[in-house]
This record gives sequence, C-alpha cells and structure tokens, in this order.
Amino acid sequence: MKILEFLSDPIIVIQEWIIQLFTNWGVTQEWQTFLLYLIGSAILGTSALLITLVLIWAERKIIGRLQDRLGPNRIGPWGIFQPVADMLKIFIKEHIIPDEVDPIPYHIAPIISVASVLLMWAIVPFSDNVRGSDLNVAILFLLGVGGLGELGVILAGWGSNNKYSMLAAFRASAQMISYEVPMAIVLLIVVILSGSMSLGDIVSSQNIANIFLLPLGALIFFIASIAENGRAPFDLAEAESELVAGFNMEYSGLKFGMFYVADFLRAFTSSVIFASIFLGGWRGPGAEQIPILGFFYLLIKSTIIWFIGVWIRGSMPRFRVDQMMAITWKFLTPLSLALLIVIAFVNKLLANSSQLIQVVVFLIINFVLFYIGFLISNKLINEKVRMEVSSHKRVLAQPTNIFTQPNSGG
Amino acid sequence: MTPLQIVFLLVSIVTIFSAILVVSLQKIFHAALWLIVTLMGVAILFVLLEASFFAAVQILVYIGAIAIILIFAIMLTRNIMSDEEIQSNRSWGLVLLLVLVFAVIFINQLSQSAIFNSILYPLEVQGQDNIMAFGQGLLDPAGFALPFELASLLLLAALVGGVYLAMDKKGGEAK
Amino acid sequence: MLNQWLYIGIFFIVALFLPFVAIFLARILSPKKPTKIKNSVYECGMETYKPTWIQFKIQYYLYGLVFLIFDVEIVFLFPFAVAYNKLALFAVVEAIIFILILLVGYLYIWRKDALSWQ
Repeated sequence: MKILEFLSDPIIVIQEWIIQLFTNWGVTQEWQTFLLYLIGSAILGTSALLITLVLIWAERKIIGRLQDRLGPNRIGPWGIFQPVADMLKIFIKEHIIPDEVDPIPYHIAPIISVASVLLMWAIVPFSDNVRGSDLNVAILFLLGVGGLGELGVILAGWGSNNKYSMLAAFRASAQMISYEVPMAIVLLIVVILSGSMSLGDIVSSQNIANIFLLPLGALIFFIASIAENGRAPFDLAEAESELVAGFNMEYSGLKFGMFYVADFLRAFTSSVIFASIFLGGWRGPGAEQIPILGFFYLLIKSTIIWFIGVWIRGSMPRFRVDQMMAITWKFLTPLSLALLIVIAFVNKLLANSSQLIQVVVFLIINFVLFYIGFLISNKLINEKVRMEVSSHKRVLAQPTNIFTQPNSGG
Repeated sequence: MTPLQIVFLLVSIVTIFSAILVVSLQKIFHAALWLIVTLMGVAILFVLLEASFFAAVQILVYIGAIAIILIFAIMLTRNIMSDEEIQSNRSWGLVLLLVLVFAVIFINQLSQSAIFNSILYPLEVQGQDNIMAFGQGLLDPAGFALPFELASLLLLAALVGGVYLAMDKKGGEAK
Repeated sequence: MLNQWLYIGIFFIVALFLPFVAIFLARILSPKKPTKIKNSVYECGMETYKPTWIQFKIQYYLYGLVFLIFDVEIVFLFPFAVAYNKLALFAVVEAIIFILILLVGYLYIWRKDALSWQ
C-alpha cells in the first residue's frame, strides 16, 4: 500500500519525507523552504543536463537514418555510449583562449547560454502539484528568458575579438529577435483563451487541447521556436559553408560543448513548452489521480514534438538569410496579428454559446486565415523570370545518335 | 534583519555600483554590459515589491530589447576597438563631496517626513487577480483607456520616426 | 508569491553554477600548452593585417527597433489578455484599435522596404 502510494506520486512523497526530516532536526520554516528549493532546483537542473546525453544520441541516430546511413553504432549496443565518449573527449580538450579576448564576456557567454535554457525548466508543470515554480507571469518569463539567450550569443560574438564571429553573432541575434514577435503574439492568444499567464493554469484550463482551437497558432509557434533555437532549416548562423563556424568559432573544449548542449537542450525544452501550452501538458486519462502518469504523458507528447523537429531538420534545405527574415516579418507577424484580432473579436461575440460552436468557429477561422495568408504570400513572391541559359543550339553538344545522323558526333 | 531586508540591501548595492560603473567606464561596450546588470537589479527590486508583472516586463523589454538595440547602436557608431576617453573631468572630487552632503541632508529630511513612517500593507490580491485588475483598469473608459490609445499613438510615432531617420543611409554604410 | 520568485532566483544561481563547475573541472583536466600560433585570432588561416573592424549594416538596428516597438505593444496587450473574460465587447474593440494603429505603422515600414534584408 505504501509502495503504491509512493509509486503514484513519488515526488510529493519524497518532499513530505524531507520536510519531516527537517522538522525533526529543528530547522525553521524559512530555512526549510530555502533548502527544499535548493534541492529541487539542483535535481531539476542536473536531470535536464543529463537528458541532453540521451537527446544527442537519439538525434544523431534519427538524422543518420533520415540520411540513409546508420548513426553511431560502435560504442555500446546501438551506440548508446557515444555521447558519454563525446563528453569525456570534450572534457579533456585543451581550452585555447585567443589573445586579446575580452575576458568577462568571453567566459560568461557559454554559461549564460546554458542558464537561459535551464531557466525554462523552472516553470513547466509536471503534474497537478509538481512543478518548479508557479509564477503568475510565466509566459512573460518565457519570453524574457529568450532575451537572455540572445544576450549570450552577442556576448560570445563580442568576446571572441574576431570580426567574423561578431558578424555571425549579430546575424544570429537578429534572427532570434525577429522570431520572438510571432511567438509572443501567439502566446497572447493562448492567454486570451485561458485567462491566465501561469503555465499551470493554462494546462489546467485545457479541457480541449489548444491545438484544436488554434492549429494555425500552434503552427506559427512551432516554426518560431525552431527558428529561435537556430536549428535547420534556420541554421544560417552555424552553416559550415558560409561563415566557417559562426559565433562560437573561438571556443574550444567544454565551452564549445556548452553551446552545443544549450542548442540540443533548447530543442527539447521548447517542445516541452509546446506540449504544455498546446497539447495539454500533463493532462490525460487518469492523470489527476495518479500524478506520475501526468509526467509520462508530458514526456510522450514532448518527444513527439521533438521528433517532428528533428524530422524537419533532416529533411529541409537551409533558408537564405533574406528568405528567413521575409518569412517572419512579412508572413508570420501579420498572420498572427490577424489571428489575434479575429479571435479576440469572435470570442467575445461567442461568449455565451456552447462549447461545440466555439470549437467549430475557431477551426473555421484558423483555416480561412491560413488560406488567405497562403494566397497573399503566393502573390507577394516575385518570381524572377529565368534567363535562357543557352539560347541557341550548340553544335558539338548534341546527344544525337552518331550511327543514324551522318554529321553529328563532332 | 529579515532575509528580505538583506536581499534588498545586497541588490541595491549591486545596482548602484553597476550604475556608477556605467557612467564612468571608458570602454563603452563594458558600460553597456554593466547597464544590463543595473537593469537586472531593478527587475529584482520589482520582485521584492511583489510587482511580478513589472519585473517580467523589465526583463523582457529592457534587457531583451532595449539593451540589445543599445549594443547594436554602439556597434553602428563606433570604431569599437579603440575608445579610450576618460569619462569624468578634473573636478570629480568636489562633485562627489557635494553629492554626499546633499544625499545625507535629503535622507535625513525624508526619513522624518510622514511618507516614510507609514505602515506598508502587503498586497491583498495575489496570483492572477492583480494583473486582471490592472487590465480592467487599463481598458476601462472611466479608467485609463485614453492613455492606452495615446500610448499606441506614441509607439506609432516612434516606429515611423525611427525608421524614417534610419533609412537615410540604409544598405551597407555604417552611419 | 515571493516564494515562487525565490525558487526562480535559486534556480538561476544553480543554473549558472552547474556549467561553471563543469567548465572549471574541464579547465583543470585539460592540457595547457599555449603557443603563439594557437592563440592568434582565426581569420580563415591567414594572419590579420588590419585592425579588427567590421562594416555594420543598419539593417540590424532596424530589426531591433521594430522588435522593440512590437515588444512594448505586446506587453501592453498582456493585461488585456488576462482580464479578457471580464471585459465587455467595447474594451475588446478598444484593444483592436490599439493593434490597428500599430498595423498602420507596420504597413508604412513595409512599404518603405525597411523589413527586407539587403
């Protein structure tokens, strides 16, 4: 019986046990809270960083299969110890620090990049009463943490004292700030629908998952979060053929590893956020009574979204920088603003009608707006007329049969 | 001293110290970085006042947008690797003395006034309710609806003006 | 509510501490053999012969400016979004007017070609 109770809600049981321990030791209430928070955040931070190992392995295997090759398969069965080997290697590489770097930005930049990704884990609700912190402005906090990430990129570019990496850092940060606008507008629509900025409240108010009410919004949010992460097809800042290596060019050893970790972890973190906001987070059959099930539902949902992200990474070619900026400023932002205006207006008109009518009307609005946006963007793309490459027939290059045509074949 | 007071003291000292560094450093990029520390300190002060919405807005708008635009503007207008001017003139000692005297008189008089001896009541509404009240007040026609719309006009003026001024030399040349 | 922010503060310090410890460990474990070639700035394999100076496009500043304006606009709209369920239709129309005024400005800068990367 005790085992069942522990298994169904392990985190709360452990928390109660620790509080009991502290009370027996005579620790005062404030210190209890402080120490509990310290233990909780240490465990959450460390497990988020350890998830990265699994993520790196899984992503390399999946990308390998998408490119018709096996992924890493030498170290351990199916190569599962590959990330461990990589980690050991990167730990013992020499830290080459170029001359004349600005010491404080250079050394702080990888730490701030990782810290900004880790901070996103603090507000995710893992079940009904298990979460890091139930901030009442969690959505704004998410957007602010994205800003901290941009700051890390700029610090890395400046600290390297290298004009190529500064250029790449500015490009990357311009990309990140441009894609925050549609993301923020879609989050605004979600807050309108659920009436609260706290992630726990947003998850609790999703009797119908938000993705059925706002498929267009979910799509915009998904595209914007991939772009803000800097993954393909938006990875212009790291394209090997273009700018050598981007803003983390002058970093070696574990500092580079930290940027790598931040990149991969951010992909998973934004899929966890997507799952919480649009797919209903920890909700599912039986998750209210057995909180550990909620944890698994969240894991499954976010893995599906992460897999779609990896799928897109392995399949699509890279965008040019002007295409990338045109997508956000000329397509995503006006579309999301239009969605905001229409949903705000229609939701007020429909405030007293039944749930079903609301859902149907929302779906219709989404599809209509998507269609209109698609048509308008098709019109706005100016296709340059292709010049004729070869306007006249070149005599020597004709692939005619030399046996039947007497003058061909040179 | 309660922990709240200790945290407030620490954060205030850090904020004031980094604000002094912002105006006195020679390398302008470092001044921008210390400005970011100052803004973060102000955000923590908002948190201590239980105004969590404003703390989040401070981080989002000031650090996430204004500091970045400031750094872009620094890059645009300077030959960044060589700026070595001393930011204060020779009379900084006398000015410091005067500022300290003024501060002592000011704090003395204020601490005897009625404002600083009143009791602070903690905020009644928690959670989402104070933001909800804030939103209702902002959009109420008898409340702040007109300043709300005027704010949007102000933003429009800033947008159009900024773009118009910056578009003079667009395309490759550092202004 | 202060407790929630306390958690965020502690988590931030832990999140800064963990990579710092990792990098510190790696500093200890790694070899240190700085040579002059290794320490020079990377410039596609050649030596730099000019002081480092970049030509900075004004496009970055324009993107930052437009992002700032939209950021402030969205921040104004968040209290409206939270209080949405308690507002009348008139207040919603007010907020839509707010957005439309800024859309006019957005249209202006779109036509002025400030949004396309040159």
